[in-house]
Amino acid sequence: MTPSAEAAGAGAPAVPALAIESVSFTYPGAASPALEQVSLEIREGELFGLLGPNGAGKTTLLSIVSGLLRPGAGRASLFGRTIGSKDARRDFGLCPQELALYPSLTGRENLALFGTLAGMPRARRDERIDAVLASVGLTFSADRLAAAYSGGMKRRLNLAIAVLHEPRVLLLDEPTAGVDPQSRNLVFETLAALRARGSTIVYTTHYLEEAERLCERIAIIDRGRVLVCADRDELISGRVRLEERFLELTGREMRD
Amino acid sequence: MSAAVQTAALAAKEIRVLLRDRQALLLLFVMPAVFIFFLSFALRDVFNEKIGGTMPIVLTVEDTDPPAARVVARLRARTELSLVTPSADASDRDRFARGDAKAAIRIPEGFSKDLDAWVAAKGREPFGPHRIVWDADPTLDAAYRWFLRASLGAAIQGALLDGLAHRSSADSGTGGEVAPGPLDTDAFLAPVPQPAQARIVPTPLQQTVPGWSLFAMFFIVVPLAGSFIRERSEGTLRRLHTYPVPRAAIVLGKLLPYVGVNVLQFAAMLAIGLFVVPLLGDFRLQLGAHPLHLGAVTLAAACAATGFGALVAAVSRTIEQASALGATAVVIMAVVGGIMVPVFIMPRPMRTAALASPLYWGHQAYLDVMLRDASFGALAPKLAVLAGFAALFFALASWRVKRPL
Repeated sequence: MTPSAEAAGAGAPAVPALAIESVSFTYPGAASPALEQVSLEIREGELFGLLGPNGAGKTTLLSIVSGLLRPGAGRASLFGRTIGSKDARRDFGLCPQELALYPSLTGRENLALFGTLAGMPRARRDERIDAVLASVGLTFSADRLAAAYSGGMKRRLNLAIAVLHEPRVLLLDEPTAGVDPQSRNLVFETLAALRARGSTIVYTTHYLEEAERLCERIAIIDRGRVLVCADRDELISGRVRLEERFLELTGREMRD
Repeated sequence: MSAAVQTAALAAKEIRVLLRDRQALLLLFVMPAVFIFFLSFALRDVFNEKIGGTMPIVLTVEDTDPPAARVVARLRARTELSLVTPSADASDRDRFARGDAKAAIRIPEGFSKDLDAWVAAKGREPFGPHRIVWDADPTLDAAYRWFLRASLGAAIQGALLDGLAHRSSADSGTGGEVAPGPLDTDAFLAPVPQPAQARIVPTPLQQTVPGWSLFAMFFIVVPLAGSFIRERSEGTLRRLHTYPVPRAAIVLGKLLPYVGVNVLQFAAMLAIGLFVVPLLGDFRLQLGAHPLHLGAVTLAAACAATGFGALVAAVSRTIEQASALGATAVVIMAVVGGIMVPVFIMPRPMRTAALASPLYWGHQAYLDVMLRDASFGALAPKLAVLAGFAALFFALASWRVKRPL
């Protein structure tokens, strides 16, 4: 049981892993806000799906949650600590949609760098590097330059970097985009292991069947607003699948 | 985990990335070495024979009698010489010491009387003791020294002729002829003896080693800006910002390796100039009385170079833009700053424009240390200018990054 869960067990309301309270954000020069009064609460230990069409505001929300953008209004916090603070960053892991790794470094060197930046002691870091390399199937490619990796291997290394320091909250931005079924399956296995350890995961994807299969709760946002935030079973009750629900809420017109 | 450890980790990453970039290494180390080799050889003769432009000279006249005035008038008539008569302002007097003037001439009090006495003795007595004192900057090559001495000799001959003409008209054609035979004007001159170390006639090597080292040091803008832009476009910079790492550590981790590369570049070029090029011909490179001051100049120039790299990265959207902009800007700054052609033979507007190039200040600072034995105090203003360039570049880069698109 994690410390906050213990506290919750004493009768006090549990501190959410991630709380987004009335967050608004407008890009400089933009006519309309990218986010408008967005509020979400993600509980510790859950796998939360954040869905929306292109331009819905997902990336902006993820940037705020990652501490890369400051909200124009409202507040975002991680276990009660304002996002962007050093303590909050320690508990946070991001697996970005783009392959944010150094091609001129080997897989192991990439992991060592980010492990050091996360503040891991050397011995623990090296131990974890071996573990995550094994878990994403890169043990035998660990000392090759990342530039020589296939697309799927890079995607797995991208994920390995995010989970290396065992963050309490992990944000995965389309981690399975453009990967083969084997790599996708390996991502799912990694997520399952993280869940078993009690990590909180925020998962964004355009593959709605993935969200339907993996996520316990799902929020759908569009045009900077939260359209719905509910348990998966509420959203897909009866014979209505998530994709139908998604199109019903966000419309069928094409998005750029 | 301390910010220092994080900075070291980021710096180690940067060094690994750079070491695996063979093209960047070729650009940073092989290119300047090739320039030093070939230009030192190619320019050896041209450099020594070239005469042109104007030579700034500090002229101090302590003798106000007519013979001295005639020498001054003759010197002023030479368009190749740009004479500055020092005022009470110390900055004028110090122009030669700073290297801004290429020579100093002093006509001592008593010169006119000695000249009159020599004429009265029909040139049969030795001239003296008040001879014209002249001194040349150590950077002045042999041809310019010869030209300066010849100009002084011609001015004295002219002054003598003027004096004879004046006397013959006053004396109605009587007398005053000087002893027959060639006139040795060197007898009227007293060149300032230079310390043994500085007596070496500067070779092209003395110009090319600091010059092309600086050129190469500023060329780090290409890999440095490329590295910044690559991190920005590939998302690694965003990722770094999600870690508990101070922004200063991210920036320092990026820049410090390049400062180190600059130091290595200068050390390598110096070694080539000291030990390799002299094996292939009659080249000598002198380091001056305070060679450790070269380190201070290198650090100041490295700060300016990395600052410029940050600015190029900030104003460029793509690596291609940064490469083209950075390389072109460095070549222009090198041309204007006197790396390819000595500043003192440039026309006056170009000499003024040179002040806007950090390479000019770096080059002059290196020459101050190597050839003028500059003390740290004498070097400080040029170091301050280089630091000022670094501060300006970083401030502009920071402003550009923060400015909303």
